[in-house]
Amino acid sequence: MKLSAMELPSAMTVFVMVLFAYFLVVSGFMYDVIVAPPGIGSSQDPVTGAVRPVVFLPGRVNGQYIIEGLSSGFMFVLGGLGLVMMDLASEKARARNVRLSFMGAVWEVTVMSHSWFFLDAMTCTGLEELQFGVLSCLEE
Amino acid sequence: MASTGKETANGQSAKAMGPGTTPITAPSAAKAASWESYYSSVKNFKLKTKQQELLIRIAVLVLIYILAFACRLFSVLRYESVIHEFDPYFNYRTTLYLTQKGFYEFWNWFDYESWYPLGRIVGGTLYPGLMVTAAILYWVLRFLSLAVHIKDVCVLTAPFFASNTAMVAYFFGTELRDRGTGLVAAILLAICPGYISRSVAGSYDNEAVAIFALLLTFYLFVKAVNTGSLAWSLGAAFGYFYMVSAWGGYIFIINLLPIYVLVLLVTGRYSLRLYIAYSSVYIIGMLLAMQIRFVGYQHVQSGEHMAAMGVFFLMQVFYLVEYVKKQLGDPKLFKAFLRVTVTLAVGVGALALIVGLATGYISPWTGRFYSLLDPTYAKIHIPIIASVSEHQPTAWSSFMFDFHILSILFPAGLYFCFKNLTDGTIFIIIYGLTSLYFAGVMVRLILVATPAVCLISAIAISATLKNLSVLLREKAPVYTSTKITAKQKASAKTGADQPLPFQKEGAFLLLLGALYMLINFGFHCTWVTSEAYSSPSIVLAARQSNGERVIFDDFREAYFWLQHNTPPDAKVMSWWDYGYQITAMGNRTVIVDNNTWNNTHIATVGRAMASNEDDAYDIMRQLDVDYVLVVFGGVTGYSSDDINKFLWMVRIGSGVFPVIQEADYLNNGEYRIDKDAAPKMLQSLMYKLCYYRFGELHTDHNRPTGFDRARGVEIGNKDIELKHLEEAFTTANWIVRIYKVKPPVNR
Repeated sequence: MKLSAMELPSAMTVFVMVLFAYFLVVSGFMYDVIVAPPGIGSSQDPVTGAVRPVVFLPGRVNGQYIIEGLSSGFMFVLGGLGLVMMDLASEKARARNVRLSFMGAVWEVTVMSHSWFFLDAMTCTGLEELQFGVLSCLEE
Repeated sequence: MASTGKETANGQSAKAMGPGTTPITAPSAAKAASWESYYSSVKNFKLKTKQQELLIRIAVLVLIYILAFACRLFSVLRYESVIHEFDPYFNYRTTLYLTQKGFYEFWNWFDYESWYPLGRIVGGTLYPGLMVTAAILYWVLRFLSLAVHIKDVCVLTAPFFASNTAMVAYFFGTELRDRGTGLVAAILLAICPGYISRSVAGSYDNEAVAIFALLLTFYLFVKAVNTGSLAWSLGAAFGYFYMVSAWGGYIFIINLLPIYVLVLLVTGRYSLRLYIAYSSVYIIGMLLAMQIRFVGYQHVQSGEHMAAMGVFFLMQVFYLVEYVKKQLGDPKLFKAFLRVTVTLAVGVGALALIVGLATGYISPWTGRFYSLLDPTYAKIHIPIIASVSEHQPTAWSSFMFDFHILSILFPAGLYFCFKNLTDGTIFIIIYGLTSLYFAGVMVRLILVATPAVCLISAIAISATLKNLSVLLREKAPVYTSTKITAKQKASAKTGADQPLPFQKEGAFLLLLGALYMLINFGFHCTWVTSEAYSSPSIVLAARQSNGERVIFDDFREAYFWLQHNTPPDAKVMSWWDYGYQITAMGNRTVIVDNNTWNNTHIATVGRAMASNEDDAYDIMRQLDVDYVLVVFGGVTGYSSDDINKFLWMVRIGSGVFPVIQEADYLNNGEYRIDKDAAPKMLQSLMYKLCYYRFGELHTDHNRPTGFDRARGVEIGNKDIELKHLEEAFTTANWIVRIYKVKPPVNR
């Protein structure tokens, strides 16, 4: 039963919109809006005085710079898209060359998104702050 | 096959016994024949494929159950069976009261030991589900003559329910897609860090039971929508009742179900099954929810519950329209009727809403939930909500930490859901998206999103593995007939049916890659559980420079000192964080605790901490305070102490008493406690109580005396004298300091 003559968008259109929303949420968009961190951090080289950019916010568990968040979100979505392309490639109905290009994309995306996992180490450094500092001696 | 083997053996033994020629050899021959038959039946023992599948499935589920329980036991093995954090201590105290005094005493309990002098109506201001569950488990175990202590039951309630949640996830996954998805969903939910964080052994908090209730309600509801059966709808309503009794997060369910129904209606998926399911769940669930005193009549009075009511009436309108459409033969007449009905329904609904809001019968959204829709609201208007670290918005690293590969599998899972849309997959999509949005607003709500993310990722894993194994197993197309049909010719031209180059090798490598990813996930989850989520905040641990682990038990030391060395009716003033622990372990009356229901009372305490000693003494005399407790991390480097929380005390105090201004405690906008600190800061009661006698202490060999390790600076004022208070107790590592309030001078 339809109330109006408006046509609903197709499932895949909605999927693309949902994917974009997911990208925003998982790159910490709310955090960027509320806390408003700088786009990218900077540190000064003590010897030369040159200002170098710092991509990952150090020392805190729940914190980020804007660009850091957006690139991580992009990597997550890219990894997901790789799996989607693998499913598209395994459909027998498509033309062979299209399937081949899909498979190539799968490999490329797999490699790229897995390289992001080694940045797990970045989130590990935040844990040092959870336990308070190293103590030298406690004889009191 | 086993039966046939036995038959022949029996036949053989019968044959051996039949002739009965030599009675002496017959028994031994029979024995040998029976052993042979046994051996051959064991050798031929082969289950049918269906039985094999059942055996594997049950074995996997049993292993998942044990795993979900076992991986949450790190803190019990490392320290002891102790209750963690702050809120669980209140839950433990109430459960203790329930088991000692019985249900009616518990339900009507007025607690005069907290929020002195106001007291707290405990029966009407808590969610009893958790306490009643633990008490029932305790009574059942006692009935079976297992003499357990209620504390151990409380500590292990959360892992027990986590295992049950994994089982519910199995059934949910089966309902959504197939059994393979169910198994993957169960294992993902069993070890996902997002869920482990609030259900580790010792974390005796509402969420431990509530997530089980949430997933159960959702599963039963989806089952009801898929089958249209009244029995499943009733089950869903009772699941909802359990959720309402367990956690304030039931608001999520009562708003998600109407959103789901609306989406189904908009996409043209209205059906009688949906009508039966939603109507029954709403009415019966609402009636059951009103049995909880804390919730009361909110289902008809509060703005947060109005969406469900609106959708309920909309469903009735839909049903009426469908019924009339069936009765009326004429489409033109029906169109006119439809127009009239729609305008009438919308008009009446809007009118009712406006009248309800205008007369004040329907209350607007409360601040706690409004801040989820408008995240900037809490920062400006409600500093207590904004001060809790769990309520901060989420950065990408928290998603990565709690979800790991699931954050990559989630979009792929969404794609598979969108590919085959059913009523069930639409539900899980909506649940996943709304819960992820809320998880983005508040870190704490990653917990609510975890079941949805696990289920959707399970769909992705299951579908991907199926695709890969199909590619791996594909045989080359065999042409059965000598005549090559036109279709085969055409497909041979485009090469659609032919396998891809290196298909088998590529698929195998990708399968290995998937295996590597999942193993990595398992390692990550175990590491996160062990390092990050298994610390009972009541006991602190740190590593010395030589790598040895050192344990600080200062909190319990202070609370037990309170219990043994102060008069039983002593009143303790501290910041609200420690209220529950002081009442539960120290057994003394507190002024404010973690319930934070009275903002003015907390602001009074904040004002007392921020004022100078004379003004603070007046406030303390008014509140009848005997002891003051502060937490200080300067000696150990503990960074969650009261000095770091001090600005929040000032902010909350200034919200009610304008005489306190945050700017007075800052030096050029910077919060400092060294010699450049603001003078008001150096005079405040909190500063004096934390740093009393600290100026004589050497915390580090290379540094001067009075070096604050948590802030990393030398303190400003080292000679502190207290006029109205005297030091009563300082723990071994100076973490908790207790001061006695002196009676006023006589002359």
